[in-house]
Amino acid sequence: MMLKKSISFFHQRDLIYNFFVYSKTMNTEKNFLINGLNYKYKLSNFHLSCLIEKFIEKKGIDSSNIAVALNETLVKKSEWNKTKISENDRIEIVVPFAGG
Amino acid sequence: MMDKLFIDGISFESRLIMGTSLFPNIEILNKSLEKSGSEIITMAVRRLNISGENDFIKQVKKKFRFLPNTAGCFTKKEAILTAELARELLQTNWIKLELISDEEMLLPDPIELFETCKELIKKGFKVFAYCSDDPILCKRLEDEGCVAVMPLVSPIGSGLGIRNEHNLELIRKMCSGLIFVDAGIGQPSDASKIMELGFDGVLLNSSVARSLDPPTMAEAMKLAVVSGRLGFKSGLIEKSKLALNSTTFKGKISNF
Repeated sequence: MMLKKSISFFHQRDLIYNFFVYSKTMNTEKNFLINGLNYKYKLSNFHLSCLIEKFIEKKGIDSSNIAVALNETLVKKSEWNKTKISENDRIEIVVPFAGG
Repeated sequence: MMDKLFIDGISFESRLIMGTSLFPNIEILNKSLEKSGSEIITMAVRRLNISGENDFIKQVKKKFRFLPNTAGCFTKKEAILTAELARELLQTNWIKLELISDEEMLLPDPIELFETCKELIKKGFKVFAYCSDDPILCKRLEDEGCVAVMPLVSPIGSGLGIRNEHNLELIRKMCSGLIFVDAGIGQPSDASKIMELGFDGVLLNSSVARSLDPPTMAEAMKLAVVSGRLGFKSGLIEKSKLALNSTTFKGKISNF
């Protein structure tokens, strides 16, 4: 009984701490280096898909026509929503282009 | 005459691969591609331009097979990431590997190129290696497992044409696989000559795109490639230092 109580106490404490961290980070702008330029975004979550959506929104760009690398590593489209990002990450977003 | 080109198990009628850069506008590009009769076109991978055009691929007719390139890459790391991005973007494991050594001459870096080829093949890419016209390098790239080896005849965009025909002859003799010429073509006769030497195809861009009338030049290149290929397949006559009369002396009216 005593053991259960203490787990519950720690669990509650973690939840409060996580909520505190979450609310603090969500309200802070984070910097990302996208295609060589600095961009600051407030994101609802720190998955790559969220950042890409934010970057291309209102620009009429179809996400099916882009490919993405995070810190010089390709991230496949199917992995965008599972890939975590951190402040100052380097992101490359590319499209097909005329070439010889 | 059945003379199809087989690349990676796929058959093609045309032996001319066209680049898509430097054309005055998209209409001229599309018209030129149509006139060229090409079935394969090259494409690059570049950063998304948030304030400009990004729908290049939609503007190009979709009937083509894409051969993405790693143009502008100086290092193995850059080239591999570019190849991976291209594969994700265009859904093809074909890659035209360009790994240059300097900005002035844009010459391929053979050492970096060779190492990168090995790595890309391991990663499942079908590599079309753009390289210098060194017969040994071409042979080594072929042995390594490149789908096609693509030596230059002179620097990219120079239009200088064939500078070392002897090397091209050696390359053709030493390599039994697919060999295309990739860079330096200036005029239709260059393309024709390359095909007469027994090469499998020609890849060109600037000589058409920068001409005064790209669609017509594209057609000229198409005909040159076909002409050279037919010439090669029909068996060119041996060269002789002395004249060999085509009209017989027999039956000539008299000797005055």
